[in-house]
Amino acid sequence: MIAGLIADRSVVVCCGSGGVGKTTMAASIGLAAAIQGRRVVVITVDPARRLGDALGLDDGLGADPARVALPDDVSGELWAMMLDPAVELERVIRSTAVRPGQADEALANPFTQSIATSLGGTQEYMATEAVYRLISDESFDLVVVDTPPSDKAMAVVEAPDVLVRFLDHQVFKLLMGTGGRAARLLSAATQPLLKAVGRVIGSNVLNDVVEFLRSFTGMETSFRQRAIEVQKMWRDSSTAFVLVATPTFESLTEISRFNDDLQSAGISATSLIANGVTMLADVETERADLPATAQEWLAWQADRAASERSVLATNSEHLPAVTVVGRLPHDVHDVAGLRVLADQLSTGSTH
Amino acid sequence: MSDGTHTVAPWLLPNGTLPTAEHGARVLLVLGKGGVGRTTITSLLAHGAHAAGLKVLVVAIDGKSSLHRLCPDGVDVKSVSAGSALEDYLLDQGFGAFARRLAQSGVIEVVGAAAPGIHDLVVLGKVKQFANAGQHDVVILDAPATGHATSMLSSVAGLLDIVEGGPIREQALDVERLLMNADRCGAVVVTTAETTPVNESIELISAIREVGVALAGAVVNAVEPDELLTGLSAKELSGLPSAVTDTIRAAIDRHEHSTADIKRFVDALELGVTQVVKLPTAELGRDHISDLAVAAFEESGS
Repeated sequence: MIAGLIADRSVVVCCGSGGVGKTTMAASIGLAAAIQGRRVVVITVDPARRLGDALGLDDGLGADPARVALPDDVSGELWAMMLDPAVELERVIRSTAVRPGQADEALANPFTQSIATSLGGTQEYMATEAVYRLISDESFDLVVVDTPPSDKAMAVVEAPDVLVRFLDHQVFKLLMGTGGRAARLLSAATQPLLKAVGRVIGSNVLNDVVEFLRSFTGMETSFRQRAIEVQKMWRDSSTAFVLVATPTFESLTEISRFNDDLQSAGISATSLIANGVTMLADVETERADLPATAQEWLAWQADRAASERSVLATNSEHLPAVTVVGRLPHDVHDVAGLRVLADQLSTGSTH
Repeated sequence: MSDGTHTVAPWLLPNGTLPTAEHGARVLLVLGKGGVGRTTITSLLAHGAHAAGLKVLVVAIDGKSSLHRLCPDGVDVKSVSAGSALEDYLLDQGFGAFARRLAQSGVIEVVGAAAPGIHDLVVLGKVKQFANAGQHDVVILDAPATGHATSMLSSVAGLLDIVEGGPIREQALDVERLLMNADRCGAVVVTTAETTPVNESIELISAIREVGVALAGAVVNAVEPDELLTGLSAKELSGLPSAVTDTIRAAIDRHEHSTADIKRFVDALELGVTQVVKLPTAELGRDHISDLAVAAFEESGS
């Protein structure tokens, strides 16, 4: 149940496809917890500017938490930030460097910045680093994570595993020059291959990659250590995964697929939010006092509502308990608008 | 279909004639923000082109199964995985099992990052390969969501800056030739009639123009039936339960906003916009899409 999570978890991860209102839900969960007196930080990993928008922060969000102004009757705190992979990568490199000057060397490599934004998995890994840093920060009771759309969200969850696999792989050891005899044997076999790869993409590119990897020599140990801690964090009982979907067949099918992926990774989602549900289900549509067009409109709403109900009932068997959030007439652009949603979540009607 | 050209969307006819496989398929890139219904519109275009008697291939990225369900029989659907396309490309280049090994180690990912856009390029390279294979008259790509789509389109130019020679550069040049050829390739921008998606679509349109890809069409999807409420008087509303009145008022308000949003979109486009209505069902099927396609193309043909 959403209301329970809001009160006692330390990490809530919101997942869903693009356009289902995931960011708005993350912000609403954050606000609902702040209303209960908790100190909350919401971090968005989605590069779209939705979170700042939903919170009415005109200047957008930065790579450090900024406090959101809340009405006087709210006793808790709400902070918000947006992941900046380049800033986060620099933090990680500076905190894990093993010799003087190493961080600057690694950061000076022309590919370090491009790696932060375009290496598959790097952005996701940086997200896990940021979340890890926030939960270790005593000034927050709850970290709410707004993940990228579901196809990338799994990458956030798996980022630490991917990193460990990469660090342990012989080809990596070979490139780093840290492998033992086995790696050197492999070296003989793979060098011509690397040359061939170089012919395809240009040897300048490949040399820079090798240079880049070598600038990290010695930092692998702390990378691995952190990755293992993050793996534990995702599976800890104080962490909750909340799925967000719209009440359509398409969206529910997608979220079910994502839920299966989560389960294969050993994680059970705690809750499902059906967002944007049509609420005029039980309205009398034949009303002589209304023009035919308005009756037609009411009938349309009733049909849609019935169809959503039936799709929800038939497609959520393998999904966690559903909390229904009614469709709002407008996009949310301020705390007052979010509060309507936060109240719906706290009192949550459940199917 | 008494008069063929009038039931065919204008984006199929850049130079007034239907595309044919032997001259190279016409390529449509369906672009838009997440959640606006790109897949719905992709299948709607497939229905339209199929009804016009064309041989259609729909390409999905990362295996969206719903296209199989939504496209008519006779339309081919292929899935390209962005993740494995580079690996496949290296296999095609004769790198054998080592390519797989490199991919599994993550080194390929690092290489991919050092040459940003290489994944996108191999995906577009596949689309180009399909378009030039002589099997289809139209190839429709259900492209990734906005942010990624723009970087996908600019990936080619970016790679040409980085990679000095070799097959990747050849591939990039080939893909560029196809993308920039307005007779062969065009973008279809999809939005819903809401503020944020319209804003993002307007940004997307300038990005598309900057890259040099032709804009073939634009769709406002999931238009609400709220127009039915225009002219409803306060007196008529007074007899209703307050929850219903509130919802109706909100819908009237929403209609005003979305009308303004659609106008903003049309003004930015300098091109006709096709409107596709939202249906009162939460489970869109092939028959729904077929009906929507008929309605959409009648409208744009008139």
